[in-house]
Amino acid sequence: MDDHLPLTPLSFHILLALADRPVHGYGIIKRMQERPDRAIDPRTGSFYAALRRMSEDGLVEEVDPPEGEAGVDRRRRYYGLTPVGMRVLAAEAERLAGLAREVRGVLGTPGAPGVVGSRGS
Amino acid sequence: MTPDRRRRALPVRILRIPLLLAPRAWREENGGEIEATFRERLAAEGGEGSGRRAWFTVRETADLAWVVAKAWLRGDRRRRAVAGRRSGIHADGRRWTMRGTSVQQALRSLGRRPVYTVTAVLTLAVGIGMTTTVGTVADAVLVDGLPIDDPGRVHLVWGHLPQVDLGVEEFQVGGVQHRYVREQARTTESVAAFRPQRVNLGSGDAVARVEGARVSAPFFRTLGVALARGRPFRVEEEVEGSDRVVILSDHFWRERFQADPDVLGATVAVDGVPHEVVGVAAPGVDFPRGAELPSHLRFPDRTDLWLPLVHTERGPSLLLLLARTRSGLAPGALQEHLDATAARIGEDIPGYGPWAGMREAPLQEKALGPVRPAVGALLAGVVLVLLLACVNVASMLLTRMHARSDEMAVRTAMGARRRDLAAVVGVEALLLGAGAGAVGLLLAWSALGAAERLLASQLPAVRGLTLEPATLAGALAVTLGAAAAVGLIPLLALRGAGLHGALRRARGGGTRRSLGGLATLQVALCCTLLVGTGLLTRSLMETLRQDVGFDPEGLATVALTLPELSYPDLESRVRYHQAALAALADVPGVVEASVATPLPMSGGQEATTIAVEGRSYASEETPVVEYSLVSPSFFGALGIERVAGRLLVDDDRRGDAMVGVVNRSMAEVLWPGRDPLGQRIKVSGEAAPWGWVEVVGVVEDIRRVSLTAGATPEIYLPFAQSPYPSPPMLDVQYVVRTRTGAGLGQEAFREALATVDPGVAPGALVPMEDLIARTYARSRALTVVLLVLGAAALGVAVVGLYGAVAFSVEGRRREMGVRLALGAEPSAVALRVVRGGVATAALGVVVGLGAAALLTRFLGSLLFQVSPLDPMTFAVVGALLLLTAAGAASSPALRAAREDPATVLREGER
Repeated sequence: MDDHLPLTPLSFHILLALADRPVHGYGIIKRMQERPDRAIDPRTGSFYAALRRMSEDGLVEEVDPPEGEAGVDRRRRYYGLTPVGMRVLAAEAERLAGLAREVRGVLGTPGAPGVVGSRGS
Repeated sequence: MTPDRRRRALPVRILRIPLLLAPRAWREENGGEIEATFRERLAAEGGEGSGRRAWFTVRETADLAWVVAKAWLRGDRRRRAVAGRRSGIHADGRRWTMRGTSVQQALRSLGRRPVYTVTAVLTLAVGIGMTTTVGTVADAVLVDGLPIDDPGRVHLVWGHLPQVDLGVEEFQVGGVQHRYVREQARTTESVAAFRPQRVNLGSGDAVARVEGARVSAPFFRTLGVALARGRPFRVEEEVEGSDRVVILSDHFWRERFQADPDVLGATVAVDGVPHEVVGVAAPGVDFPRGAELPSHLRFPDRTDLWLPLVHTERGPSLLLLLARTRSGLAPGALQEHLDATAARIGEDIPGYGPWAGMREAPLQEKALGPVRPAVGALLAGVVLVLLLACVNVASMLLTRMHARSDEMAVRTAMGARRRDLAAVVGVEALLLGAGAGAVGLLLAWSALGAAERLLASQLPAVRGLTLEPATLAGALAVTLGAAAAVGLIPLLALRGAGLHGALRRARGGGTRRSLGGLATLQVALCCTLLVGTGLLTRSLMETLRQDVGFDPEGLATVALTLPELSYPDLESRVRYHQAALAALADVPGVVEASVATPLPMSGGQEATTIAVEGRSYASEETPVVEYSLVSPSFFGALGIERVAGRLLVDDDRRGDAMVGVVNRSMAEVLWPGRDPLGQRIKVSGEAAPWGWVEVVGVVEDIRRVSLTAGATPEIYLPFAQSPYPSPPMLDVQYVVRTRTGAGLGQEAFREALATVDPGVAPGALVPMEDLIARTYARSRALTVVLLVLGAAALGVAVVGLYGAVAFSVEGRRREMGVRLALGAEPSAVALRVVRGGVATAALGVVVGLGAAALLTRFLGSLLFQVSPLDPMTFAVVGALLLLTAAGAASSPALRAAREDPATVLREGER
């Protein structure tokens, strides 16, 4: 598990975008862009290179398009988290939260717990 | 396709470029998705503005290119995973096909054979580097000229006197011609006249001799150049006394006035007279300059400042004209106009007709004319070297293909298609091309500096050469072209090699023949180039063997210009020169000081018609001789031999009977078989208002213009008697014989001359030997470059020949083993090999000499006393190449002769 940590910001956000349901490639990019802080806006080539690498590492996998959901495009390839990917995402979030606590300890400024890690590492 | 659809399609096409370069498996895996997503994002994020769309496309494409590059570097891992998954072969994750040939694999393969790789890259790099260098120079010379507006319409007009045989084509025109051409302006928008005028600028200790030009008011408009500041000259400034204004060139303004922005209105002393600065020319404008104009008219390398030309029709005003033609004028219309003008002058002014002829040529063409054959020869040489390099690398690749034929056969057996095998060769060739391109650019970059040093004095356009983006793009195109050419031949060879052929190995017969053919081609290319180089070298050697007619060693020359206002008449000028000669003679180390105008080898030539006492000539047949005004010490200082009579003496003064010394040619042409002494001639013509000149002596011919131009009839007149030339004895050159090793510097001369008149500044001290060297600098530069190219070509051809012979020996080891086993002498075996190599080369020599015989005629104008078909050069080049071939073959031959027959034969049985 620790082999995968720390994640690059891009990988972390791909996992994050896939956390609740399978999404197609462009959908992942859109979800990142729709985040209120727009923390990351990857270029298309880099994005697919990262996605492919994560697929090889077993963090994400190609899945069948979800049935019955609105707006599903059957021509697209959909991606979802593997159980490993889910655990890696959780572990990375924990790692970032630890870092954030440390930073707050040094600076003495309380931060909103909800946004931890949203700016990546 | 509608414009709108095209607009949408273009970004996708751009994005496809890196995609197409991606490893195939990677592209198949990701290409479709990346492209689809890019389209959607472009629609969503690109917005409507084309700027935003372009920026988005650029960023996406650059990112993809980077990702693709990384994919190549990680290629192996990915390919194994993908291929394994697709084919179901998981054993070691590796399938024995060439599918997904990676750059990495090619790199490793090249890295395993460093000698081969380095040789191939360097061979190609030399070709590419030279092409780029010469391309840059040619571009600067042929394309970048003066920064002038619509240059095609600017024509140079010069005097045309076909009846005067001085070995030069261009003469100056007089004020009359200037006025007529200007007034009869049917074909021209504007006409301007100009002539060089050296001046002494500044006052006190800061006086310097600078290169100026007298130009008529419409000069800048006619030339089509802008002034950075101020105004051009006005017509009313073409009048004596109103002409005290000056326009500075940009470089002079920066050097001398520290780019002072308030320079307009400032006063500078020109020949001691205050002049007002009224303008500064745009950067790069330094016309008239020697590069564009006939060398014998003695224009400076560049003009520092311009003064108004005072219009006069008295005496020869030694002008050249510039004409800006009306747009859309038919070619030849200006020349017709000039012919009509000359005829008109002939009608209006009796006797002027034969001397009013004029010719024109577009200024740029005129400037390029003398350089074009040399640039053409250079480009041809470079193209030959590049071809040679490509052929050479192709044969190396072929050898390698053969060496890997077992591997290829196994790959084929395991399912690799021919296309996959081709990819191996292709990628390798591309890599070699890319590496060679990079090294070649480095070579070009360093070679440009050398080219600049070699050529700058001849071609000012060559100053400040840089590798321009266009040249870089050109080099890239050359590189890719070279790589493609290099890859092509082995691919063709591959086409024929089926599985069986490859597996049987066929003892390399096909490869051997191809290699032999390529080696022949290399020898032929090299041979053609070497013949050209050899001819130019011989020509230069012939030039250097010429006897200049005097002893240039230890002669120093210094130019100076007397201000006309301080020295208004001949008497004052003569007084100055006599005092200056005395002052120079007192400088320690000086043996003899003299003055001459024009000085031999300084580029200047002056000619006059003469009347010969007791003869009459038709107007067109009037004899023309070159004349120069010299001090009596001139002959002694230069070491010119006396043939008959006496030399000039200090007592030949104004008011006395005028005397002159003629050269041997003049004596033989005008008075063949008779005694020239005592004959009388009159400078200009019988009607001239001055006296007859009596010939009192004859001296040997000397070379006046260059080592290659023959002697012409010439008369020397004592400068103190100067009857005619105008302006006489103002712009002169001192020539001083110094004691060997005296090492006299500029300062010694400057100080000596300052004691006579501190307002007259001498120019730089130039050894006579340098003046002579300048007359053949162009052919020397060309020869040096071609010798370098020839040496490179020879080296490349040797590598090619060696490769072919070595390969052939390798393939025939068994045969030689049999011969040795049967008792053949090792020396006989070696000799057979050498003979084979020489035979290969001999065919190339025959082809190359044949090609040379067809091509060298284009060198004709560059050759001096050497025929383009010079048998000596052809024979020497042929022999040199055959000897070289024998040398290249001798090492494999010795190896063959030292083989142990038993080993070879056992090897063959395996």
